[in-house]
Amino acid sequence: MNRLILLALAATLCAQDRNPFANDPKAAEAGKSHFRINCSLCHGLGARGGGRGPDLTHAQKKHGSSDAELFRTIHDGVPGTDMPAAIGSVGVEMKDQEIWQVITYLRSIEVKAPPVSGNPASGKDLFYSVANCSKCHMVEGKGGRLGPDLTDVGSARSVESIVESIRDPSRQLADGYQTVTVVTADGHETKGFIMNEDSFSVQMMDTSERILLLEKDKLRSFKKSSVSLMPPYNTTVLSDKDLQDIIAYLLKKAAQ
Amino acid sequence: MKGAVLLAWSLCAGGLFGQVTFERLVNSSKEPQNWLTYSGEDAGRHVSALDQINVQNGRSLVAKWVYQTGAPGDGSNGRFENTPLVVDGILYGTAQDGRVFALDARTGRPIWRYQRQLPKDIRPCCGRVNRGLAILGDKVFFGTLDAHVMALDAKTGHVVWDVAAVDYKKGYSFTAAPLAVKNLIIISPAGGEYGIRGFVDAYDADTGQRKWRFNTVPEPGQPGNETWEGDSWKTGGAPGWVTGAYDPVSNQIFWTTGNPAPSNRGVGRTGDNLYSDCLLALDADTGKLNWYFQFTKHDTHDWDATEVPVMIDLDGKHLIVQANRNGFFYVLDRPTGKLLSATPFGAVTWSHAKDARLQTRISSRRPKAGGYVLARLASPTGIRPHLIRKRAFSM
Repeated sequence: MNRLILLALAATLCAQDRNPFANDPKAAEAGKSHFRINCSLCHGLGARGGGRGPDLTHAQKKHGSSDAELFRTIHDGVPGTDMPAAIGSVGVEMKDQEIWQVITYLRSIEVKAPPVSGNPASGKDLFYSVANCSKCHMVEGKGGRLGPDLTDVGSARSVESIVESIRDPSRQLADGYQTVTVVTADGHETKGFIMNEDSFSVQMMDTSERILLLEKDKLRSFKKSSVSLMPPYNTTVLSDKDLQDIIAYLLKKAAQ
Repeated sequence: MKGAVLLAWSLCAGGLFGQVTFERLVNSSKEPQNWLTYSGEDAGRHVSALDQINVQNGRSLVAKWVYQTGAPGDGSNGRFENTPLVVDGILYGTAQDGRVFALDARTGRPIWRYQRQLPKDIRPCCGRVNRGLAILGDKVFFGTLDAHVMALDAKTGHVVWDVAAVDYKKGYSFTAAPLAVKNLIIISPAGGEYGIRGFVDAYDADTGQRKWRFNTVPEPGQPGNETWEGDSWKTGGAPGWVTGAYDPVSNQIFWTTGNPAPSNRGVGRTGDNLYSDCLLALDADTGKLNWYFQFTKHDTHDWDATEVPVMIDLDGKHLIVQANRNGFFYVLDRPTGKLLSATPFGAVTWSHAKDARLQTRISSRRPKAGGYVLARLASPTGIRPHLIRKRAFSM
């Protein structure tokens, strides 16, 4: 009798590791909807990466690729990262069944990782020297502060979107990097990006990485701009090959 | 004109930023406009030399701004026990559950915020709190409830390094603010109530690599292990949950430790239980123990010695003093650890000053009144005797 209870218990536990909706198109459709509501804010529509959370269309997931590992990642969150638990804290309150539906959806959109043609070692050299990326961007704590930290960008955004940001940085400014130019009462002009602002004050970082805490009514002018502080890296500045090398470096970093 | 002054101030703030050198930290009392360390200045007194706010005008203070660190429903748990740092116009603090923030000190407007995602199964000993940060160079440092030590870029809040110091599942957590010494970040865990084996760690400020660890409970073969019964050292406690102090005169780090574990039960850990309830003097470069002083031997009343030690130079002597939870005020010689005096600062019922000086073992003695200690504060204001459970005085 006890053995029967144990067997039943074991069957239940095993069931938690397996997706009860595997390959079920209806469940994938339901999962797509749950994903849009709960996950896309960080992971992007279509799970292609949203700048904050990684592209989930790759079969290889950073925190485990099996059904059980994916379930655990969504259910418990990933401590030390922005990924919250499904329940509690800032949780998105997804039930177990909904989590399995999301996993079914993710399986339905998985693609083979495109082959990376660039050379990551050469990309690292370019990043920190000739291409000057590190003047404004950090990777693992090394680099500048005028642009976003790129440690995880290789997983958080698609290759196409990274290419676009390098070739045409002003097309879409990164969140939190709005360009601003202020002129103080004595005519001193300073350019940088806005770290925070309200109706009365602005906290900005200037191009020398100084944090300025300014009151707007004391300024002669205060102008925001949608032109990025980053110069466009067109093909005359950065060849396609060098671009691929840099991307290969960023992808490699993000995968580590 | 005001605008120009403001700009000059702002540019000055920006210009100075990133230059929080170790020299500034050890000379922090020379810049009272800032609060560069947990203890506020190098001697550990938690006292500001600024006099704009005083006993005459304190009553007329009104709120200038409010910054809400967490709100009901947003997932924040725990209490707010932070001592913020103020560096050249920017206020840095920590809050509930791994939150760190940098604010414009004049307006309270956030410059950046960081939130650590904590595992659901953390077991923070004695409260989900964090007491603050250390700053050095262009980074701020803090410990997390899941026992990681982290460095954030002081200008942006980006993670520079993140190191798991120990397995949080064994009852460890960090609640104390780290101490920056030279290029090391010193920190010690909480968890005395959960049977951890305490330590004081030093991490390279640039890389997060651990440079040394001093175990506050010695293992077999090390001096002091004989003060533990059997294997009780393995779960001996002695956490260091309050920030210590650094003495440039003797190049020593002073760190205090909490109770032995189990906290209120001495059965099974017969002996003095070193280095619980101690003041430790560690070599700043190696973590080697230079001397120790144990305030309460074989503690069975949770008399953590974690009150911040204060350094005083008097008549050419380099002293370190502490008002301990056991009701005595201790004065020790900083370079050698020699006890110079132990004076009750209340009506203490568990021991006599003479005993404290001689460090007589008091394990067989019990406070009177069924586990309570009666302490009378010697105060000109005539405060009535205080009955404080288990402790004679609380800093």
